[in-house]
Amino acid sequence: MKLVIEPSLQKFLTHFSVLIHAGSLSDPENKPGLAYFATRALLRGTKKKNFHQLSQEIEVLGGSLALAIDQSETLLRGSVLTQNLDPFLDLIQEVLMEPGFEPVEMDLLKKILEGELEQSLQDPRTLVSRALLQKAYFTSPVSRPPEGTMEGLAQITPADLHAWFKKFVVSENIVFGVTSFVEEGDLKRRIESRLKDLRHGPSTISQFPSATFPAHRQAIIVDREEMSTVPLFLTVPGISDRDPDSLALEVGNFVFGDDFTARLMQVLRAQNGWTYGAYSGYGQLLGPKREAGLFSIYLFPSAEHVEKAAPKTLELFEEYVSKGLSEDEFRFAQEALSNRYPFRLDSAEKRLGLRIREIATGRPYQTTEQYRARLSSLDRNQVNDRIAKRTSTGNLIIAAAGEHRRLESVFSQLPGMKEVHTVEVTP
Amino acid sequence: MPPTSLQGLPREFGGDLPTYLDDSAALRFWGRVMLMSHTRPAPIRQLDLPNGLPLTQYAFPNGLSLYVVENHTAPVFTYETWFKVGSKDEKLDPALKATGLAHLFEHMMFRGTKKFPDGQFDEVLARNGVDDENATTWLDRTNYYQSLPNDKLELAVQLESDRMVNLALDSKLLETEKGAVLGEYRMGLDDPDMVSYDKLYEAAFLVHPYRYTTIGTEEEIKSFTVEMANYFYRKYYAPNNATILVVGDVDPSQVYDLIEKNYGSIAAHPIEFQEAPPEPEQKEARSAEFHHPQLSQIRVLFGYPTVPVSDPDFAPLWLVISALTYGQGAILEEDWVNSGVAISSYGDLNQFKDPGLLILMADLQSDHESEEGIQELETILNKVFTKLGTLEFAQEVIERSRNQLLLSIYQQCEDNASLASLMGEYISSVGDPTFAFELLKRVESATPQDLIRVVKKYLQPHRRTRVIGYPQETKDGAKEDAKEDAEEVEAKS
Repeated sequence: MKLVIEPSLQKFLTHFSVLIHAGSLSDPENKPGLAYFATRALLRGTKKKNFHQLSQEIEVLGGSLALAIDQSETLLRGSVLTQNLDPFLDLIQEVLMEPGFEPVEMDLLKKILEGELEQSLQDPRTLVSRALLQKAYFTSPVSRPPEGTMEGLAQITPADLHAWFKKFVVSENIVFGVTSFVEEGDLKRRIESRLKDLRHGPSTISQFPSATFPAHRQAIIVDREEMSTVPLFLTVPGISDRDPDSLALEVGNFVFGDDFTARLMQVLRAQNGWTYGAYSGYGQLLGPKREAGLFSIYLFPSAEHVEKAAPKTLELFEEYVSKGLSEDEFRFAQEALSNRYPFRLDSAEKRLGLRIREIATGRPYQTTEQYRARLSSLDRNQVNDRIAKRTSTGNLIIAAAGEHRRLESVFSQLPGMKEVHTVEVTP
Repeated sequence: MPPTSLQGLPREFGGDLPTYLDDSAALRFWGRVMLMSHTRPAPIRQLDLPNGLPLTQYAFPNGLSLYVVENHTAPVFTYETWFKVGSKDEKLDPALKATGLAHLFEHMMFRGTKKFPDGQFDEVLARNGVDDENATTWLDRTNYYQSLPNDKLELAVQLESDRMVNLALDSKLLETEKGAVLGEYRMGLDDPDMVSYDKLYEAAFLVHPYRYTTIGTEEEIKSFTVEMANYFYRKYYAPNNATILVVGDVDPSQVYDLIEKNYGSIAAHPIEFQEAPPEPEQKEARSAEFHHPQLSQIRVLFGYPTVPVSDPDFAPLWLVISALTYGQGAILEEDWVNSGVAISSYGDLNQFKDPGLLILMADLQSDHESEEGIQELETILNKVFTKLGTLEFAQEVIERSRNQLLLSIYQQCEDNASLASLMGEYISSVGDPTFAFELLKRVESATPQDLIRVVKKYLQPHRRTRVIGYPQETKDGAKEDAKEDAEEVEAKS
């Protein structure tokens, strides 16, 4: 187990981030959602305590434990009143070492997860991102949501949960992050003494698959009636979190779509009022990864403006890739990012997050001075060269939700568009 | 020689400062003490917040209030400007009688002054490293905020003081901004959560302007003119209606000087606010329903009128909502979700200037999407309230509820922006941002008997407003049947 301690000056709370190198990529083909189910199940009781007792004991301490999952990792995040640190650590020990997986409780959890799956598609952005990942990763498990599918959940048995736990919740597979006012050596002793008996096993860091983009432009539509806005993604292959070009592309993206002052917001919102928001980035559809993910643009124009907003977005994107940044824009981004960097490190929790990210994706942790030195060493030509070489425009996928006839007409008229499909997204 | 240690400083200068202040902070603090005693009015209040951070409060002759919280743990600060005007006030204003302008106007505050024409405000801030720059409008107040590196304090003061009086309102820009606001409005229409809440407020408030949405209606948004925006600006954006909160790596005396220099010449003017009509005591349960194309399950909301946030009963009510819905071990998580009736439970307690609502919400499990399922949810709730009214159960739940609340409050004290937001919410509603910590004390001292009292007083069945949201489109017969079933019962009652 890797233990990462980030000292904090905040006296009241201690925060935890426990990373397990197992996400939905580890799910068997016919059981998508197993990792999510299993980790949610960790919080549904231990061998000594049922769900009610466990949650009561955590929360009476002023504690909380919650879960997040993506394709590569599962993150158990928690906080507690520092005065109750020891009993809370006892409970974390129990959760990580003695899960209950009691059958009746698991049946109930399955029912809750099924309801949540259905509920999640109420969010238009989730709906469209789901459709897009289905298309871009149709041959790999990334095409399925990390939370699983109804079909997959139905196949999962208590034996699967036990097997998952034995394989993945092992010392070599866990990064235990903590930020606290408690003295570092003392904190280390308190944690290690409780987790020294964690089972051993191989680390299971998985390779993130590449997206399968068509050789031409495609659009996919999720047919939805009575939508007042049109959630719309435009996507192309992206970069990995540790990519040597990531800083140059961060500068480029700042000018293109990562800020209110960026081109997307200025043209689509400030000048035309077509959409409330329009942003771009490498982390909109997939979290940071060791391997390449996706670059995307997200906007949600009013339905009446989609005819203008969609082609203009594509035009802005092509211009960004072909012409890059002006000298003024480059200098502006350099200055802005340099001044802004201290905010990435201004709390112990943020610093802890970056240290864990370094372990998970290989992106180096940088002090303000290191970041600024790298930033000042860039020049505009380098940035524009990287934008042009690392961003494709020919094989993009556009995905949106709304009335399919209207969207079909808009998308089929976009330059270079070869295919427009209507797809279904089911929980 | 300035002292290298702050131990032993008199309490009025914030003695007992956190021990983690470094030497440079100590020097800045000592400089502040020396200067303050000679050249500027004494602060009207100095105290240490529960998290150890020192707070200094100043008042200016033009009515402007300033609160500075020093946090020297990182070289950054958050600057927030709070105006005591929200959508409730515009609805009550005889010259406006509508909602939506306060919010549209908030958007216009980013569209330029003579000194910083359209686009410049955001560009200057971005260039200087702004981390989070935005604004929000709500029923009782409007706030503007930005976080910047510690050497950009003067810039924040200049930009904010400039737009407090020198905004250049332009009809073309107003029309463009209406497009963005209409986009925001439509985004809300597509969101079942937003629509659920809007329906609840509309049903629960009969006369109080809290029943109207802050964003307004499409017709209202389209109807606003530059003249109306100017009227709103000139009437409500005055130093005597504003409070500035600065939290971070700053020196209070320097903040005072910069504020004095940049805002000092802005004149105060009297502002006549209309009192909101008090909501009549609810004597009968109410119900309403709506249909939404994006809803996948039947949603049920319950609202109960409560008290202003300043009321002594607010803290025990806050403990009640914590007992019911905060955390996995909350009562309704157990009795609604783990009983298999609902997928999720959610609760909220409005912290408003006037009495708001205690809100409970659930989405039904697919095998409970029927009128019987809705009734079951309500029956469980009635039983929970009865149980919460007993000393044994109130004693059993109070510690978990209190510690969950403390966790949530302390989490908001951990970074500059969250702390400023936490405190700022009490400027309009109570008149004092430090009320956040008074409330903390009230939460800590509330007893099981207080819980029982407020449950019995406020959570009565006849004070309930129930709103049911139905999925508009059904993929199978079950939901359609459930809807028809429920409508039939509704029609009979």
